[in-house]
Amino acid sequence: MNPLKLIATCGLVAAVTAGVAYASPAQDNDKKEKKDKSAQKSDASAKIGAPAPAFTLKDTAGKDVSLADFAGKIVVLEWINPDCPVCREKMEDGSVAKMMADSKAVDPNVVFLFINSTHYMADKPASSGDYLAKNKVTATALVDGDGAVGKAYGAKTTPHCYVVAADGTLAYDGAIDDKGSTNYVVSAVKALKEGKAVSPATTKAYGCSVKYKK
Amino acid sequence: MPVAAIVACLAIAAPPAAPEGIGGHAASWHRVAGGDWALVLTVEPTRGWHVYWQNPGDSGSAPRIELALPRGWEAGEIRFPRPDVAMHDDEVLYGYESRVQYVVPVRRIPGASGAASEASDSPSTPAPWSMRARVMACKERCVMAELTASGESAAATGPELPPGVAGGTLGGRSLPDTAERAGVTARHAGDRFVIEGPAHGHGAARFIPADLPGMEVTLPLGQPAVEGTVADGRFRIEVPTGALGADPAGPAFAGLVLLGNRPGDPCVRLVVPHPAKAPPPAKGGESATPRGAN
Repeated sequence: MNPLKLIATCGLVAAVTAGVAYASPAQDNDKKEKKDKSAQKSDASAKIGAPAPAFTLKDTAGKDVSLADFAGKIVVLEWINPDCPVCREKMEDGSVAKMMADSKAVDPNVVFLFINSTHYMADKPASSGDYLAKNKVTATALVDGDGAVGKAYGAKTTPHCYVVAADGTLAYDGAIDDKGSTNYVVSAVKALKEGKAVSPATTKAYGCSVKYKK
Repeated sequence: MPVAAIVACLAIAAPPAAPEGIGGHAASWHRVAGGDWALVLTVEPTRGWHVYWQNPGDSGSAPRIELALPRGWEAGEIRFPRPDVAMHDDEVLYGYESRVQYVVPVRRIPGASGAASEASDSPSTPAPWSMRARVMACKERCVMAELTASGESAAATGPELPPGVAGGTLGGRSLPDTAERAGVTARHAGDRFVIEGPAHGHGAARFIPADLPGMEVTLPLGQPAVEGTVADGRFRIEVPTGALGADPAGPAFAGLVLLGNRPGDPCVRLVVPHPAKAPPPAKGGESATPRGAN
């Protein structure tokens, strides 16, 4: 074979081989990314009837707050994002304040924690506190900048509500209300206080998607 | 200037400055075959943004449209055209990434007396009128656009819509047909609904659920719809259903059957009443529900 042709052929083979070598890992990476994305959905460990995932997050003053700090009390977790129009509407129309007041009327010891997993607000912890204060909501805002707690609970939207029973088990997961007159959180707190089963225990949460870090 | 032109200009309200996420919007009146009317709200999402179907998917919010109409007229529920169906950032999205025309049927209340309005050109038009819509538009973040329109008259400026605002296309997107007219049936078989019907020449059929409180439909992991099969001109879709609609007076199961893959391909609105309202089962172990009522 002509040496030049041989070199050219070898070069072509080498180029094709390199292309395949680069293509295969990329394809594998695509598959891995797809699998990872699928796996992400099952990262959530929160299950109705099972112990609610433990967590420790910082409040807007930088102090550590743990779910365990409220052992023996009913705890309501609500995921928020001040940028979400649905979340803002629920705050501004008084729904959240009413939810808290009605829940406390049933159980004065119920605890409300508002969690912000919005990745781009991680370095602005005060914004969540300001948001609650602006809407006259007296409660603790927690910063979950890396989204670990949100993902552990499977929080999908803002708002997305969870009710943890006094024994630490997850009793409710879902929407704040039925978009009408029934507030699912208040219903859950009432059922727990009366020793009844929470029904519905899960509903489809609605609102903006939680802006997790990608 | 001819009266008709003035009326036409008044009937289509000039859109205000477009809010973020919405490239433009307009409201127009259409006659519906059979004598009713419909207000059509055309929304054009800004490039890269999307607005939503009645069930937005994993997140988002369906639009809300409020109409103020003269005495003697009433507005029905929004008729949503065929949505785009996609996975968006690992989430199910049912919405519209391009122009959409939301349709609000308007009809004279049966038994209502007298002219609709002294200001109207004709006692048969719902005028004066005003509309306020809240439409969520999202990209990386979401905004709630407030869109308004109003007019002193309601002359029809768009094409006539089919009876019941069912079937056909509007603005390039199909309007859902009724299950009865499309020959689509649904039966509850244990832990699933089996939906069947003619494929009308299309090779693909899938189902997306309505946002029915209490209804649980299991979508395949990573998929936004339940895919069906097509053979011998008919489609069959088996939809795993965890729970039925929570309101016993409302539907047990509801959603949209999508034939084909293009926005203008047919779609069928499926609404199945609770088994208690259905006729007795045809054979043991299954409840044979009638064709989806609308």
